[in-house]
Amino acid sequence: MNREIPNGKLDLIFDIRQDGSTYISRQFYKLPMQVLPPHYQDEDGTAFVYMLNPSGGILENDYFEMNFDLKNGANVVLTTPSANKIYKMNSEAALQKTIIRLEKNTVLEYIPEHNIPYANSMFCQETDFFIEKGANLFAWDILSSGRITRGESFDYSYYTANMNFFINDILILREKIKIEPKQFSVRALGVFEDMSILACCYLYSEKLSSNFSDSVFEKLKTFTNLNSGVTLIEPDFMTVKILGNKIADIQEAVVEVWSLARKGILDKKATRIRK
Amino acid sequence: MDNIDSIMHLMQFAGGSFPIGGFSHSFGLESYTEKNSVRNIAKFREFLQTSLNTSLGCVEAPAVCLAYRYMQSGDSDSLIRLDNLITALKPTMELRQASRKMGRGFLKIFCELYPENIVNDYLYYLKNTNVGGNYSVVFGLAVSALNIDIDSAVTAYLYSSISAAVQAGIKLVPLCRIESQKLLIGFYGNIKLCAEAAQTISEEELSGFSPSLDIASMQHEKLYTRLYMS
Repeated sequence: MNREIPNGKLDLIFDIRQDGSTYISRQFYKLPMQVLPPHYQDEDGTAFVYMLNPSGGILENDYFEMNFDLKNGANVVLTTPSANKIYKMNSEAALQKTIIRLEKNTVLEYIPEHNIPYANSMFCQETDFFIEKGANLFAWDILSSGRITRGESFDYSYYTANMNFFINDILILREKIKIEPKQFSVRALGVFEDMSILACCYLYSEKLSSNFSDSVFEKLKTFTNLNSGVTLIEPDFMTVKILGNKIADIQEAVVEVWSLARKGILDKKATRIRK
Repeated sequence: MDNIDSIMHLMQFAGGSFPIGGFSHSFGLESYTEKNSVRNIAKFREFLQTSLNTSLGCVEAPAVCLAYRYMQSGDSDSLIRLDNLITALKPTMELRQASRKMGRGFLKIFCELYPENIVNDYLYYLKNTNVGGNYSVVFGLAVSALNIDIDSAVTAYLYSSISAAVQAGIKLVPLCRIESQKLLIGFYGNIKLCAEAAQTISEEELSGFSPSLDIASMQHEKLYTRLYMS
């Protein structure tokens, strides 16, 4: 397959109308990627947008590319309706590349559902955030070990996920996940240990403070069946890592972090998204 | 530099007595012992092995080698890029602060010992910018500037990191002195393998995935009492 041309593409540019609500000013999609029209559940005109993959999952040789640009104070919640299933592959991995650009004064809440790598899948995910100082970002990335309820856990061939966060074109954080369960022990002390699901949350805002990160830490301490930590890698950049064994527990925890971020940093009310 | 001189330099810089606070850091171990997750030698060995398989062997040691080569070729732009990248790869505040403190401390002392050495240019640069001064990068460029061979240099770096962790383990796990020395000898083979592999890793390949260690480092920030700075 020609890896230079994606077989699925989604490009969206977000802008604001005169009434201050956010809309998709320009869009392009190539199936199987597509997007539903935004809906609005915040009073400030934040656009809630679902990114769709109607094929149901990611297959061998798939190459999906997504570009999202937020301009002129746009406020967007980007999510997916269900978990991203990564199917079995025989020889060629699937690749998903996402580039997100935030102008200052924009707000993006990038909260896709979790990835489920099926047995014998091979997947590479690359996500780059180019953020102008003064923008606000809340994002999460959640990885399950497989179809856990079917007894599949760490049965995939490999999974890599690279996330780069640039603030004013300076690389602030590079997260690299590289897991090859057949090559090294995921259960070793320091890696997954006795946990199976990893969630990472990222919050960038000039309104961040150590008091806020302490409040997130205190909230996560109440989830006694999860192993979690919070850190301010820079005064305006917070990361959270959470390990657990049940997706429902992880989802409840990340939604709590998101709610705290909405109320404490993003000047919005906590909300739920119907899925 | 001949072999004997190299050995003496490396024993001085990486032997544990160079005053950069290397023994003030537990790199997450203190969180594990606080939770009683690492309280015997088997678990501690696993902690060391994961460190060697991830951040130490796949980020820090390769960074020493890359900095060494960039210094040899006079490529200051690449040195600065590498230093920034190493900062970006560190997942927690304590790990970033520890590396920066040790690196800048090392460079300052090195430059007082060798005031005519070209490494002083990098110290000047650090003083005037936000660039990290990460220990692995600074160590790599310093040993390169003295023409110490890269095999010995990266092996010494790895050994001293494991040795510092073992010193923390003696206090925290705790370990008796004889079993801690046997443990160190037991790591010789893995250290040599890591040192060889580190010389082949490019900047793009730098990565060490250890989420539980990251969380332990994050949790260390909030421990009620701490013997160590990280």
